[in-house]
Amino acid sequence: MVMRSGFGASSRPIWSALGVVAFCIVVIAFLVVGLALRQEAATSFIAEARNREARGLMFNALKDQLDEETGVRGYQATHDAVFVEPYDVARDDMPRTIAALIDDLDALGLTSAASAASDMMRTNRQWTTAVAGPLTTGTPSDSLRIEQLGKFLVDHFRQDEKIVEDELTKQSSGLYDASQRQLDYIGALVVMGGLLILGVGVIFASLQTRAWDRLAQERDQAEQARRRTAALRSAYETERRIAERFQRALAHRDFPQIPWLEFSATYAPASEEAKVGGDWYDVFALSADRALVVIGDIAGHGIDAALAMSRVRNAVLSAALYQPDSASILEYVNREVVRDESVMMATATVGIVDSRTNVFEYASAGHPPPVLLATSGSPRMLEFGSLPLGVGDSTKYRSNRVESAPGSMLVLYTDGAIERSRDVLEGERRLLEAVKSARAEKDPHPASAIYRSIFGGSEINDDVAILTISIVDDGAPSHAIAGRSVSSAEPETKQTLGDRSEPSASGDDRMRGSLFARSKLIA
Amino acid sequence: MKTDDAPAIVRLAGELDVYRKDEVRTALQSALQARSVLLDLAGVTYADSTALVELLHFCTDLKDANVPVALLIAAPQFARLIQYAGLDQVFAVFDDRAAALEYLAART
Repeated sequence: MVMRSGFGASSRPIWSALGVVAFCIVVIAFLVVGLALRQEAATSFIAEARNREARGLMFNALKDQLDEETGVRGYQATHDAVFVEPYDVARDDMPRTIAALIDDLDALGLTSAASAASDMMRTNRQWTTAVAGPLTTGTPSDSLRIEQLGKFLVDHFRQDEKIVEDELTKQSSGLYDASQRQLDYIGALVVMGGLLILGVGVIFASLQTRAWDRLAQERDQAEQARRRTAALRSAYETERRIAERFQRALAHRDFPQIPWLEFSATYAPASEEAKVGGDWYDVFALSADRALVVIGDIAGHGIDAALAMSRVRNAVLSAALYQPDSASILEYVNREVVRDESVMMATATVGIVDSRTNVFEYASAGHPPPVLLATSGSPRMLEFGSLPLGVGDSTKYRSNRVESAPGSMLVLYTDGAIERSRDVLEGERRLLEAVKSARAEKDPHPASAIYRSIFGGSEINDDVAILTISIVDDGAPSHAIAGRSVSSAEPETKQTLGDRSEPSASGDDRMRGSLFARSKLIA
Repeated sequence: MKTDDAPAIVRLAGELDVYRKDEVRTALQSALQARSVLLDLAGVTYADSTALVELLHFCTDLKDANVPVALLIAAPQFARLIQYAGLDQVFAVFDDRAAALEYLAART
């Protein structure tokens, strides 16, 4: 198909140009031949007319001769001058007649006839002088001799006339044949011209038909392509709609009724097309005084990411039922993600809020750090930093513990919340400011307040999810362990509220000279 | 002049996002056969999750093949992203080029 249209496009102009040139040549040839034939026919026509005229003149000359003889005979018989009249009339007429005849014969190219005609003229003059003159002016004594001369001259005149007549007749029949031939040629030319016009008409009509067919075909193809595009677009839009609804439905689960906790959350999908991602959050009551909080982000977009999110989320919830802490939960989920080929990679923060101990125990897998807003002071970024889920099945995660006294608030979020400017340090500052102002304004829905404060009404190019967990301060005395820091099951992860602790990979000398070893020195 | 002992250097700069995925992947693949690799990200200020996944896979593959790799990172906001992803806990990250080369030299 492509080959054929390519061939047609390159050679069609050449062929049509050659066709036009050939057609022009044929038309010019027709014109030349036609004009030549016409010229020849005109020449023949003129020659025939002249030939006819010459024959008339020749018969006039003959008649003049007869009239002259008649006049002479009449006078000889009667000697009455009246009978001489035909002779006089004819004698005046004869030179003009023969002169005209000679002109015609010269024009016709009949030279022997022309000289015969001249001879006729001479013979006639000789006759009028030597014969008619003496016989009409008296009674000559030698009339017998004159009669004999007269007979001789008249016979000579008749012989010349015969020569002229034969020549003219011969030419006339030749002209007739030529005319006949020219008529045949013209007839043939007319027939050929008719056939040519017919042929050109047929070719033109067939080309036109083919052009129409091609046009119709191209229109059909364009229409089909348009329909295919429309179908694809519609399928694409359908997928995007499904993905978005799916994502929304999965991401938004109703919060459980936990009397000592208040939740608020916001989720905003990316404004860019088909960028519906795999952000999600979850809250789950593990027991009367323990609640699981989760936030995560699946790499990728669309339905696949939404489905992968659903799997990872279920894995977290089922692991939380029997794993003792958040690090164990993440390690279990990580093995699931590595095993499940449909999930590429995910980041997540999993935490357990305990109202009995007032401790927030959490672990992070490649996810930005949680924010803790304690009862007093400024909000702080908590410790973080481990490989995402799905990198390798032996990845170890670490549980961190911070005090979470009644009245404090935890903020979990996905990277979209801090990557608006592509400078995450700036993003973190904005987030902390937003958390602070949400607290100051005592907004009943802190997550929305934080989102508004960061983004205003502007478009976002990545999904943004924000989850806040407020520990209700009912005024009852806290049964938390006193003090700012909380003891941990793992001594090396013990930390002060909100401080970024040093990496756990301490003791490994390969980190010497690194950025983080230096920050350790500063700390 | 490059010798067998000299580390392969992969240099990337600017903001690494999904639109530069192929460029990042090609750059990284060029060093997969090296005996040691200096991943020079001193000029990088941002990486989205797509680019981070590429970096992570690259470093993991090298580690699995026992090829020493050092990451050179200068921009603090990018260092923060590397910390989120936990790369600094698993791979050698430096803000000083000489230290990074010294680290690689000691392991080849």
